[in-house]
Amino acid sequence: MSTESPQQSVRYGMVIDLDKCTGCGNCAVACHMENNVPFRTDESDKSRNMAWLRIYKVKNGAEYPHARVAYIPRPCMQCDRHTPCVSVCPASATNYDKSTGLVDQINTRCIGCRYCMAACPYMVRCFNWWDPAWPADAEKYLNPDVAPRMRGVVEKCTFCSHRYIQAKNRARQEGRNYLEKGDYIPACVEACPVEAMHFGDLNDPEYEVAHLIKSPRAFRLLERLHTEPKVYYLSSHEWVRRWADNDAVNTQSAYSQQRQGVES
Amino acid sequence: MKVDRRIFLKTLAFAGGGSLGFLSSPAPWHIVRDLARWTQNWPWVPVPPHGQPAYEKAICMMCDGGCGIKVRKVGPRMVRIDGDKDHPLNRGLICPHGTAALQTVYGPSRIRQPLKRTGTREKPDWKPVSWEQAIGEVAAKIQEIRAAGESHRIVCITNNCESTVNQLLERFLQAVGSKNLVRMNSGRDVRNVALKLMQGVDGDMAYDIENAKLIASFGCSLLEGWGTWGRLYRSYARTFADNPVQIIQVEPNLSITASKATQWVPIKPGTEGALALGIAHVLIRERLHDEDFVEKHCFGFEDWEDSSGKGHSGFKSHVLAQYAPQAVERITTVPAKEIEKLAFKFAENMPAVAVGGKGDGQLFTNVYELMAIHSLNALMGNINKTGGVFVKPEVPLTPLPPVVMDEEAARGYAVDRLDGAGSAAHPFSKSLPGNLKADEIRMLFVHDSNPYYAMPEQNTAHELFEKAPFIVALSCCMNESAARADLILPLNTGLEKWDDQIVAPDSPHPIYNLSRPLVEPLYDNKDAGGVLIEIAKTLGGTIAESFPWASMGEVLEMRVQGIHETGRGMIASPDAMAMLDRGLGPEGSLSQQYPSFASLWKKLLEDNCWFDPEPHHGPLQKALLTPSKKFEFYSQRLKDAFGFEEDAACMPHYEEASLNKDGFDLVIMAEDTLTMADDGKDTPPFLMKQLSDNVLKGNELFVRINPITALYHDLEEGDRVIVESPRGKVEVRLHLFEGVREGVVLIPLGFGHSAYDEFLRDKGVNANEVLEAKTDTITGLPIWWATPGKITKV
Repeated sequence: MSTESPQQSVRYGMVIDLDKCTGCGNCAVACHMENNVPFRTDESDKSRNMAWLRIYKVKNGAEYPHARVAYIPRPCMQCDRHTPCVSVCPASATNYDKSTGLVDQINTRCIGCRYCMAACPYMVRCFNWWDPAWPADAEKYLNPDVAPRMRGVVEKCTFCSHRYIQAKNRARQEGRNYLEKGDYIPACVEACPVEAMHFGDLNDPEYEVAHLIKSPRAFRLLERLHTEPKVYYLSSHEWVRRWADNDAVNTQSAYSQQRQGVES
Repeated sequence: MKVDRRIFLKTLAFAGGGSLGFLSSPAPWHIVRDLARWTQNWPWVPVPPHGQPAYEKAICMMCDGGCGIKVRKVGPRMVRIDGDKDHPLNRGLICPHGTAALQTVYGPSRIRQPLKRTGTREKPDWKPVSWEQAIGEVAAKIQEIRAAGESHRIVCITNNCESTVNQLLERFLQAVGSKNLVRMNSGRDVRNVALKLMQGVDGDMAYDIENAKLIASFGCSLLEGWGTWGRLYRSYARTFADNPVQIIQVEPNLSITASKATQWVPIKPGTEGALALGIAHVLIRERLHDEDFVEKHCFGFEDWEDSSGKGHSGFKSHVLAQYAPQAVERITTVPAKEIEKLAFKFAENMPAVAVGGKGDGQLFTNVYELMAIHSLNALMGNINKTGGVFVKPEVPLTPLPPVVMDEEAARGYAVDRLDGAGSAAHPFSKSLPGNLKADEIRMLFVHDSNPYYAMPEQNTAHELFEKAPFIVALSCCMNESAARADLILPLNTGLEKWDDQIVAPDSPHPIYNLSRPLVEPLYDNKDAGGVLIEIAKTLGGTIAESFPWASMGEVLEMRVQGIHETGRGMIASPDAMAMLDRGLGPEGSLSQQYPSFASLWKKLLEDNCWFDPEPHHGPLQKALLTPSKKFEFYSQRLKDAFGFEEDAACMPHYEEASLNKDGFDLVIMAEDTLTMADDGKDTPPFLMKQLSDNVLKGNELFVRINPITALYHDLEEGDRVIVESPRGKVEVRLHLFEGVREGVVLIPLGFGHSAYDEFLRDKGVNANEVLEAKTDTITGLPIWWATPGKITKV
């Protein structure tokens, strides 16, 4: 592994086709079931509630009947370069894995300073303001592969890294030191009913994602920050692409647009 | 004590020495280390135990769509639900309700043992009782009513699923002496009436959307829960395929379906039927329709004379005279040119299906609108054709043996239904819960439904639950209806019980879903079938004779033998589905694959689903059972039942919805969303998490209006307003959205529960509080999709 240059190593990434996405929310529900994300009585305060994958609804701003909406599912962007949350973490609780490109969170190291939340340009991270509490027997559906977090730590989407570890273990048991296509898929991608979400190694042409990211429809959110997110979006609509806010000239107006139009 | 210099210095020395000693000891390190450990040790944060992993197939019971699911188990716990890729209906796709179903199964609103009410219905207190006592009390009450000769006043309200449990309920009532199994209304009901009137068939419409090249949806929430979710999403995914299907959505507001359809046709609310007739006009005028089919198999198309020699105008002259595109433009606001284009598009993309019914279908429209939409299918000859409309084929189950009735049962069963369904007033309807009157009821069973919350006729529902003398709820969860019962018999949820589904909504394939317990019942609960058997046994006599089985599992095993005997179809096993995907049939017929019934039963328990990939719909004549044995544009049944003099009253035509009322300048429309369960069922917390903060903020619900409507009424985003209709008023907040039609107030369904758990209770308002239910004269079904309204700022 050490002889490989970064370009050759595995870089897991995701491609989400916004033309197909209906905003049904199955990816988010599957993610939260898989990752033991807690819930509270009032989930409407979006600055306090916990969600690893949020679905933003954006609109083209046109009048009836030309109004259109699109849905942008937003997992962790898994930034590849100068990963903002990793570089600021004083406790090394957030980790960039060079061999896969996965940005993971190590809950027991987190000291709850929330510097990473301030650094993350995508508002991906959530802080556990309260201890997670599952009512009645709801604890029984918790997934044993993912540890529930405690009060006072930050958590976020990990691209279901526990599934990566399991896939690697399974491969090793089968005598392989590599993963085959389909061995490792995050829960959200698996749950998407319209195959709008694709996942795989962005460097490996065997995977569909490696081709999709070269599509003229492909874009990423806030590309102008050069954090090189590994989550790509596809859309054939110019107005959807505008929401990605990649226009370096009009950054100011983009902010005010976001204030007016994004419905989280 | 006086502190002099000496004492001060001494103290200082001791303190300093002590501190120095403390710091040079290992204690500080230990304290820091223990503190660090303590901050990371939260004994109350659960550690989910590991266990034997397993994946088992099951059927999702969150709605009656019948999707197949795969449940991941860890030891005795169920931890995840995914779609079952081998289920013929959904092929692995499930909706977020299915994915979150375990939150309901393990949720806090589950009822854990039989409960008897001690307080009043408004402020109930509950006393746990044993099953023996609960069943004994139900039996005693039934005996008492039967002894008084009033068995026909026993009523059971149940869900609208076609299942063995509902057949057992019907059977139980018959054995006791009552016809009153009242199903909650669903979209099926009005489609059934349209089918009955135009094709004469008692059954369900089935759309072959898998093979259609175009789906023309007149207001159906195809992507928000219409029919079987997984099946519809599979069809939607086909709009991106190499050989794509087109979805045309005719709807006043920009729903998810409208925004994702190939084309959205915005239309004035309630005029979908007129548009369908406008399209029919163009099809006929341009002779784009299937002339051969219309000539051979349709009645009432051309002008005709009846047996008395009286002349009648036919559908053709009716439509050509009244529904020219320009005239339809004035009604619908859809441009005439667009209507012409739609007609050509429809005709060019055969096979195409036209589907109707607002929302999931449960937002009933008048039956003429559905007839207008269905006449498009007949015009194009798409009846009983691949990619068209079929009559739902039956699953060859062994029928339940005849009911044994004693004298009182025979007397009570001869009395007409209390809801007036099937009577002279509403001859085509099977169930009309909105017509029930509390003072005619002696005992009310409520099975797996929530009429108190979900019935559009809220006044009727509330009166039922205030005045019915004895209410028994068979329910898994503490919903609004169970909370007002006198006795609750708690049920197992879908993953713990024996149950089945005999009809997959709208699918042209016969599909049988068997549900078996995946885990031991979590609480002291039972299956509905099992409870009925026990009550029957307690009652004894002919009632017990009618229920000779020991358990629900035994009933289902007996019924499945019918499938084995026909030898048709296949079990949806992974191997068989893989063969099917390669275009090959299963290896040998069902009877060759499973020679003994035991082997079939074993396989069915594993894979949960039997279906027939090549259904025999039989000849067209089997789908046309009208008096003329043809597809009737002029419904003779309608004429016979109501004696309409006017020809138009027996044909599809447009009737203006009365949405204007003095003092009300807006139209309030119900919005069917995917996130919220709108039939009175539970919405899991993870779906509440999905709601935007401009749908629900705190406990306040938002209604949506167009910014222009807001401008005219001097309203702004987020304003707190009163939305008022002739029926009532609610306090909500405003969200401005350009996708809502001007003059429309869109209020989402499924909020405002007063029961269930803290995650759902008291969130927003129940839209039924403002929506007025008007009775359709033909079907007797409530028409409640829209109501006149107004908005005033608080």
